[in-house]
Amino acid sequence: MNPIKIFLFVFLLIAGSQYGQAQQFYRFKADISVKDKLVDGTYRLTMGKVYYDKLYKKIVYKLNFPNIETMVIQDTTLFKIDKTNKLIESSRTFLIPDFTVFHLALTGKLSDYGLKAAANDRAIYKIGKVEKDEKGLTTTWVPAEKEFKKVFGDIKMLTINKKLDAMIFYNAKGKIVSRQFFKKYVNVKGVEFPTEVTMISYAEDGRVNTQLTTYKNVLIDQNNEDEIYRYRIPITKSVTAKK
Amino acid sequence: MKKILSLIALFSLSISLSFAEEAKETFNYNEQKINADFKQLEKIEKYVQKNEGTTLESLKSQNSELVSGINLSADASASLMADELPLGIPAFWWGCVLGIIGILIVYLVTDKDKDQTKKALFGCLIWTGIWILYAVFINSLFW
Repeated sequence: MNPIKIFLFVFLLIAGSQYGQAQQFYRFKADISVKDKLVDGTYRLTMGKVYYDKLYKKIVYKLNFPNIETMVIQDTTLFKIDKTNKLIESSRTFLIPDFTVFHLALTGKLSDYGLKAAANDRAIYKIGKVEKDEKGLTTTWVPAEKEFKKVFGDIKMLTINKKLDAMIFYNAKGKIVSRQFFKKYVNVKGVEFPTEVTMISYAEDGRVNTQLTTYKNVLIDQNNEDEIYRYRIPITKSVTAKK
Repeated sequence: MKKILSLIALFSLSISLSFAEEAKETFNYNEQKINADFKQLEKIEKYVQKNEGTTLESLKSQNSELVSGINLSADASASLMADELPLGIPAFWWGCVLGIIGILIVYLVTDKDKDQTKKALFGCLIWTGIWILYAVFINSLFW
């Protein structure tokens, strides 16, 4: 083979791999507003900024409403920090960053909500049925193994133009327990992100709990404010601190 | 295992307070209804955006009309995460209904919390006891 062609081939291969690496996004920041309407008639409004770094695996909420405070989710623990940077409270959470909409968007897995197992991963869900109609593509995910069927129900997913649009969650008995909608996508640096996420959960008596999360000013791979992304949990506890 | 935990988290967030209901199997999104539900919160949001530093406490202290007639919670953490056991089901029932799998789920999800795992174990033992009693009772009927 012509040495020039070999050189060109190798060059393109390296350039291609570099380009591929450049598509690995790692940081997400946005203004966030979460509105809740609960079954007991209570409302909640939470406003602030959210920061997430895929490498640090920390979700940092700098909130300004209802209170000025910071919340950090790290290693299954939620830390509440007051405006004087004192730890008010730490509590256990099982919200894992890998399954947040930020992580899924950064890793390009939002279209299937990360249900598709990676090559070396044990699959929890598998595709049961795929249907196409004028609305889009509906995929029914079913628990991959018998033991999972005791805990998880099916999940129906609607994708429109390769973007996740809606999900219906069923319980293990096959009844709908929740619906989620992912609307108003923006494309920031190649990352498709839904700026409106609505979750409707159904209570036993037929009433519903609705949560609307709105994102604005989405930033991808911000290269400043590093101290917020890697937020160090203060050692000093507030006088009213509790665990 | 991490993925299992993640899925439990996902389900928990979706159905943290919910039990099954005969909801319509539909992907239809009623944006108008959602907007109507949050009309008052929308007004508060706009006000807070315009008036930097406004908190719920300051709104209440001003006797603002924005927060009158609405029961507004000051707990932000509940909106942002789920701090309960999977699906909001107590540890006892996880052990009672799912047995060893339930205990394992509680153990992993609560980050090896001994108290919660004990409750799940207790649930599992209670269920096993009931099952044994039931089996003895059934056997006594036929023998």
